[in-house]
Amino acid sequence: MLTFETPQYLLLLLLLPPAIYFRHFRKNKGGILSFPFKVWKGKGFYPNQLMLKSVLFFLAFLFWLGMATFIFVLGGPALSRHEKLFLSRGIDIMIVFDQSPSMAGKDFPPVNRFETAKVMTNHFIAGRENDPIGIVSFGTDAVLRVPPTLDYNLLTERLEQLQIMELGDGTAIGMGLAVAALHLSNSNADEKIIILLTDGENNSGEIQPETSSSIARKLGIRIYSIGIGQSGEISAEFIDPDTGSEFSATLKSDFDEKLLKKIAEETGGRYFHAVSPGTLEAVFQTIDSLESVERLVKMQVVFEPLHHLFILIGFLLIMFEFIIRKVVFREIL
Amino acid sequence: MKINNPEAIYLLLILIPLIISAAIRYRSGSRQLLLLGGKWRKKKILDLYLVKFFFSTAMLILFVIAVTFSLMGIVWGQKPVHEEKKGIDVAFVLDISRSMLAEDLYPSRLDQAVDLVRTVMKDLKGSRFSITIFKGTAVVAVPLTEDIVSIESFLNNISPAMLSSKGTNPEMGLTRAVNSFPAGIGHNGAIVLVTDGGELEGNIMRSADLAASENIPLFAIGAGSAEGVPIVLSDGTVIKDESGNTVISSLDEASLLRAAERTGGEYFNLSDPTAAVNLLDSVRAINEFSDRKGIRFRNIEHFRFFIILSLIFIMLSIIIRGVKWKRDF
Repeated sequence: MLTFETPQYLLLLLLLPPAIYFRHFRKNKGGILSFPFKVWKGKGFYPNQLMLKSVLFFLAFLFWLGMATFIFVLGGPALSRHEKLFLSRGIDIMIVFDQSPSMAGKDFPPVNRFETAKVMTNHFIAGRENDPIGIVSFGTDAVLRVPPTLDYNLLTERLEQLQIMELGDGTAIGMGLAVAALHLSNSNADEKIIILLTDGENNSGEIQPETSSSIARKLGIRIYSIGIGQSGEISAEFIDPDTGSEFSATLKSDFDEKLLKKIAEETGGRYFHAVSPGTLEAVFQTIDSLESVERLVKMQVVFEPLHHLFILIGFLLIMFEFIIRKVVFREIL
Repeated sequence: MKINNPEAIYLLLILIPLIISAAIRYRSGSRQLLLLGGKWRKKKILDLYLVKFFFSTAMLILFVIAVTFSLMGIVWGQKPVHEEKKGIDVAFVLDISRSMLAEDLYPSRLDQAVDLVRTVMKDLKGSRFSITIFKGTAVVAVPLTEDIVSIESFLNNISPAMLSSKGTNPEMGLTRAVNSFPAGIGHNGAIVLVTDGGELEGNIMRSADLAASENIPLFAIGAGSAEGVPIVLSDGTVIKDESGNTVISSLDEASLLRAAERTGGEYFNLSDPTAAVNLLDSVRAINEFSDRKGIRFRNIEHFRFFIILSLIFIMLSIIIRGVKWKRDF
């Protein structure tokens, strides 16, 4: 929206009509030399100057438009927009992502469990505001991908880059949770949560999931655990990021429901079982609504000054009029 | 007094064709006046024409000058603006070009830079930090976060091998850093840039303008010296370019200083033992000031004065042309 910082200057626009009168309409303004082109008592000879007059009128219009623009500049034109300013601290969220090969299971259309989980996580991130979110992923080892940040663009970018089996073919749930807890340990947020997405049993890593969850509990972190997929045999296809070779296999998929339930309940979180993309979406929505805090938000107005632009426009208009009068109409003064 | 857009001065170049064409117009104009007015009044006509032409053209020239000044963004004085921001977030922008391995600072320029980052982080507890590294390109290595652990583990592994591009482009690094501050988080922002390069690519002032428009002060830290030194690595070898010449890294302190001042920040030299302390003092000063008062000082750009002058000049030029001075013409 266009606003003026010092609108009182706009009163100067009132000076324009007298100035226009002075330049164009006053008596004795000069500029006309009359020659008698008329016989005694005969009809006059009046050349048709409509074209010339309209061009001159247009030029004068540009000039005064330029002057008006300069007066607008004095008013301090600025574009104002409203910006949300969060006065309270949000929740720190760590998403712990399973990258083991079984996540390639094709029971989650259109592609597989892994891609669906990525899409749903993206939706979840897009729905949050002012909550620092980070990503940890695990296979045989666990790695921090993004520390908790409000830079959501970078977050979704890094999420997109995750690939199946980047970190080996194991499932180190305990390590994933421990890394997430470590990176939340310095946070001074009132609420800290971990969202664990997995479809397998803990079968690697030095730290047991139970140990990690008790660490998390001590740090005041709630864990929401999501078990993905149906148990039983599923077909899977994926490309090994190290060798580039394609794998196609039938995997026996089973996750440790008891364990996931335990770590969730112990830390005050909840366990969910997502059997299809639809249920996974519902799970994320549930977490989203469970983890909403009161936010102190203030709307503030941000101004972006525009006076340089207006000065340039006004200057060009005035100089254009000047040049046309001097060059095309050969005005001598 | 500061000038934000010194490049606007080029607008004055249009005075050259303006003055030349005025001379030509005066000559042909006086000839035509004589044809109309008659030779017997030559002196009267030409005297009046000269006076009017001279003064109206002078007013037009003054008009152009005044407009130029108004576009130059001349700043002096400050005024307080209410702002509800608390705490400070610091984006570090680190040059990781090979010349940062030079050991003219102990143990190396890069290590000193990392120490500086650690010192700042330790002192500003509860703030958020981000790290952007750059060579010819730039990446946000650690986004703005409170998670000191992740920054610490990044700093432990920092090395020129992290980016494969060549060159030094602080503009890109700064732009990335400015954009790494999420909107509406209610914190003050500050950028700390550590570099040892003369600027080889990009235009650092452009990114300084961007930072200034977002009210983010830039604290520039230069490593090395303006005279330039060869870069000696830990094994005693000297870095050479492809044709075998020794690479001399020289620091462009003037442009770093200019960029910092443009944003209301400051410049320090990394070799100065008090650099870290001074940097911290300045950063803390921003933080404490806004914490206590809830206001921020904004520079006042004085364009109105020049616009009023330009309006006066253009009206004077019209009045000089239009008003009758002598009855007998």
